Amino acid sequence: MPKATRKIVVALSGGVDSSVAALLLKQQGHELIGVSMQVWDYRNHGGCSTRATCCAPSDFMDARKVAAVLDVPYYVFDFESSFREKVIDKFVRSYQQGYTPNPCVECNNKVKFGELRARAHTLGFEQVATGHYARVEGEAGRKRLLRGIDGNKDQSYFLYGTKAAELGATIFPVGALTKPEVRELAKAAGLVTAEKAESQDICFVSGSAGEFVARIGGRRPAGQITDKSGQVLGHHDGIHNFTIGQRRGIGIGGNEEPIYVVDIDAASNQVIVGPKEELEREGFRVAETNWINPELLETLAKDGAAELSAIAQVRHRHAGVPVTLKIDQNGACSARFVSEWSTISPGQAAVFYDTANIEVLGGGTIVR
Amino acid sequence: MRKFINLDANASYGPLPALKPSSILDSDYLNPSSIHRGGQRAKAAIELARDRVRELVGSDSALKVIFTSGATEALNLALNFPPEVARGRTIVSTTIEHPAVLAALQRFEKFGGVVRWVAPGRNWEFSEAPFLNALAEKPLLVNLMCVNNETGQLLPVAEISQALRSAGYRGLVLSDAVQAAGKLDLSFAGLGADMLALSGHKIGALPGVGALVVGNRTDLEPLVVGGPQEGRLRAGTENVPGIISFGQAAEYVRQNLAHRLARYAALRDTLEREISARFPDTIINCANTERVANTSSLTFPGVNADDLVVALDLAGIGISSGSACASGKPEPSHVLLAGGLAPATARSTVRLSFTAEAADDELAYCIEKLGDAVERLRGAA
Repeated sequence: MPKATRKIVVALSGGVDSSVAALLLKQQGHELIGVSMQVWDYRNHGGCSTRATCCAPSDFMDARKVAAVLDVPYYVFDFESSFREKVIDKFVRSYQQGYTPNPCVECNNKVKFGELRARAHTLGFEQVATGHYARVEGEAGRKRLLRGIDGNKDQSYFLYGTKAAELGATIFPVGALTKPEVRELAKAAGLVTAEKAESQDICFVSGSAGEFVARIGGRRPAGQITDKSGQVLGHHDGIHNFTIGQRRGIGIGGNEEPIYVVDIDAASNQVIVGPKEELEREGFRVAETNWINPELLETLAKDGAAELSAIAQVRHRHAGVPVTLKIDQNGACSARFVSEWSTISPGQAAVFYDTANIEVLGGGTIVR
Repeated sequence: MRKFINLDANASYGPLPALKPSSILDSDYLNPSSIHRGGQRAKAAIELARDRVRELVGSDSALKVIFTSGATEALNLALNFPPEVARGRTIVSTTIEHPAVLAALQRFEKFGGVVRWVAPGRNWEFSEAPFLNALAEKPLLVNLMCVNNETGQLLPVAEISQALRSAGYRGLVLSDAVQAAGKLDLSFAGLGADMLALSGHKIGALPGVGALVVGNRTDLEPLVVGGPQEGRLRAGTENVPGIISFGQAAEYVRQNLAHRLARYAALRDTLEREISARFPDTIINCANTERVANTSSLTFPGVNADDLVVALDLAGIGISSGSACASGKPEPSHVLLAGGLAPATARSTVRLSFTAEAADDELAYCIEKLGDAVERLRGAA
């Protein structure tokens, strides 16, 4: 039996993944509209020096070409004000408080699957598709979010903020493919994005994150670099220029073993450095949690289980390590590493997978 | 599938069915500056087109028609005052002009000139007083458009230029006549202007061609320099097919003006009547001012105009919110704000502009789809 035709908004970034997402849905006969999201205007913010960005106007041209080739109506939706408020301002604030935020998570939650879904709904389109490498499986009402097939490209980490109910209206057409397969499909279909370079880093930051934070939110004052014991080793030019785990560019030389930023204390305006071991934690707490399937908490409560075994991924491109989770009734959570301690950066997302390391259970923002 | 319906003719009319492709793309036409017959034929075709465009604004053979890449270039040419001329001088202009004029006047200010802006009154009206008041500054130029592109409002160009002349004004009068051509009996002499800007594709010619029509002004400074084309006022090989199509369109809309105007009025009035009946809270902007017959500026309170544009596009109908801008950045229209609309009201306003070729069943389809979309978007809000 052929699948029913659905009305789907496909988010087109101008990259190859979302292009192929649109291609596949088109081939399945769905009624599509392609949308690029205008989130940040480089002309107002000092221009853009890198090509590896996903929200530059030239990428919209590629998106437009792909949409035209696929005969999909294409629109640019303006989400600048909400992006500024929900992503940029939070990003800048976090940096200024010594955190290392992950704006892509916020963008997915609040803008892509928030604003875009709302706008799509207004236009009578219930489904939203993107080029994320992730999978949605399961029957209606019991949808599960899984890692993408391609281990190198998996982006489920960025999607932990979704709710099970929303997954039913979310499609990741390339999640079951590998990147090389995606490129092949694009090439075979003659899409202009087939050979396009990967977008890296944070789309709205064209230089260093520190420069960006200073430009938007103002510089933080200079201060001391100390070790854990408080001994002053040097000076820094503002904590917004540092992230925990950073090794290069600290400005302190002459050490036998490499030193890292192991903590940032916004209150005392100090950057604390030390050897790699000092980065490692036996556990961490997360706030602003989201649990994809709310039944998870109910089941835990019913079983009287105090703890849950899971795999924690504490940054993008982290394989994930076993943890034991303690989840409160309100969903807040602390994690303890089981076998090996790991380095963590407050502000980054910690995403928890099942013990098979495939299904996203939920996640949150790492706090101190 | 139903043919796409252009309810956005003020953005681009689309090629008129009356255009003759074989003469526009005549393979005999070579470089009009060439001495040989390939050049001669092209040059003659251009000059014939020039006569047709001149006739569109009256038939005064003394008028100079300078072909440009479009009305934006024509307006830029008209307002191309070098810094040494601009410094300390005044230009008087309405606030509801096309961005081409607004940007050219910003440049005039950057060059040391002063712009006295005249905003419409409470009912969009423009009186003579603010123009006359500015005469003390001995303005270099007074600018007001014939017809506003967003609302269709007809501005009192003839009355104001006459009042200015009676008061002894000897400077220049410029008028953007882009949206007037083909929608009223346009007369250069009657308007009392020194320069009119025209656009080809707004009257059904190919895009990429416009004209500045000039009476007696001899100090025009070319924007594009090079060869001696267009009386040394616009260098570069002429857009031969564009110019020929412009001539054909100009002739067609002039000769068929009366019945086209009747058709425009019938289309617009039916749409406004039926939509207002279905949604009594619809605001018809400029309803109580004189306006050209093909344009409807409608406010649907509570509806996001950009969503309405997308919804109608998905139904196969092209309309616009404010003026055409592909940037995807919906700023509320400066015209609607100048007319006193609140920003939220301006964001709920769409422009419908008809072609005279729209068929009755297309009109009925548009009315139905527009109504359905408004209803659905209100339900979703």
